[in-house]
Amino acid sequence: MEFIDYYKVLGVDKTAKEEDIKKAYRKLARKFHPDVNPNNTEAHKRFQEINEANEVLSDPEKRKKYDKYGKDWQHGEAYEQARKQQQQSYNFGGGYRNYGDSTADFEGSFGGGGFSDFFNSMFGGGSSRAKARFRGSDLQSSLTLPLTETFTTEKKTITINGKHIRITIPAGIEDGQQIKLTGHGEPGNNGGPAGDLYITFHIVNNTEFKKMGNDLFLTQEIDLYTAVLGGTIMVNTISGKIKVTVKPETQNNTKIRLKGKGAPVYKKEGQFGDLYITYSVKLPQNLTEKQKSLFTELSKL
Amino acid sequence: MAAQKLIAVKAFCSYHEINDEVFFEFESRNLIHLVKEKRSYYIPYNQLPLAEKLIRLHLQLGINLEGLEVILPLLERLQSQEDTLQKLAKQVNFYKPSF
Repeated sequence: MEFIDYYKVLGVDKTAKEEDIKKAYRKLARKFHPDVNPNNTEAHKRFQEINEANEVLSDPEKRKKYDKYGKDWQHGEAYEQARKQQQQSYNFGGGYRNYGDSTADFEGSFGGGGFSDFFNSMFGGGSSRAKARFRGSDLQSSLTLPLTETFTTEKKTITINGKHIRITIPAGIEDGQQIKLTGHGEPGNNGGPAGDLYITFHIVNNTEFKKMGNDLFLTQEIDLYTAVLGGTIMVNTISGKIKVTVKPETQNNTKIRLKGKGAPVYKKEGQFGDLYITYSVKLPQNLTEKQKSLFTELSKL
Repeated sequence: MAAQKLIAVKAFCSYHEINDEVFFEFESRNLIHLVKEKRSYYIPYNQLPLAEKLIRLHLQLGINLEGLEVILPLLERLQSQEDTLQKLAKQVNFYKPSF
């Protein structure tokens, strides 16, 4: 656990007045607030640091304690005493939103919320000076799945903050798609509802197919004779191998579409995309003398 | 037609302990659409995230109404561009040759 210089985080001097701290905080909060930095995890992290620094420096009692014991927080009776006093005050994990009035400082903690270990050990968790009830912070999480597991609806148990949550992942979930689990975020305060849990899915392709939307694409090798004379081949689909008829005189790179043999459509049971097959004609190698002479004969016809 | 889920502006504002006047300001500037029914105003359920965002930006970050009028469309545009970027990145990935 490292000491955090909250003055440095807000870019203010140790002698900064309350007004200077407020100004510095607002300036930085406007720059790094999650609402103005969508999908920017770096900004979210920075915002949490700024928020934590403000939580301490804008509260005269906390600031006094921080100034007095800050650097020596790990040692000394005084620190322990301060900690005991703190435990009597509010204690909750994930920061809060204060909607009190238009002049109130912004003290919300967003996107996975929480304070640093340093803060928690010194002040015993984020605390509220406001009486307003507020919704708990939303949590962000991610889950990596192989593509094959998106072909059917899957049930999984995930662990968030030590709690096991059983989730159903509908077939057809896309890479980068997010699902919301209402009420599984940080708990609310003063009777406020819990936040939500957002899970972003990362899909890793572990198949020979390429995927675009719900359609799958596959390059299938066929030999010269099947391409020229026609025939049947076995083709892989997500539900097993199927027999496909190749027309005579099929050209290299010919594409065919197998309707409904693609990936499942998200939350539309029984609906599937298509499977596109591109034929790649493989020419024979290591020809025998007889084969060579026959090809020569063919070329002269 | 399916019934629309509505949240009373008064209930929302009292929950968040804010003055409901601010919502009429938002509406007068077309930042949010409120539904009027029997002399009461409601926020459509699907606009709840927007309502919360407006409050955060306006009351917590201190962005004034004129600022919101500028910022909100820019944020929308940013989000749409990020979506497009992600879509294009997927397409590039699709056409990458696999050896």
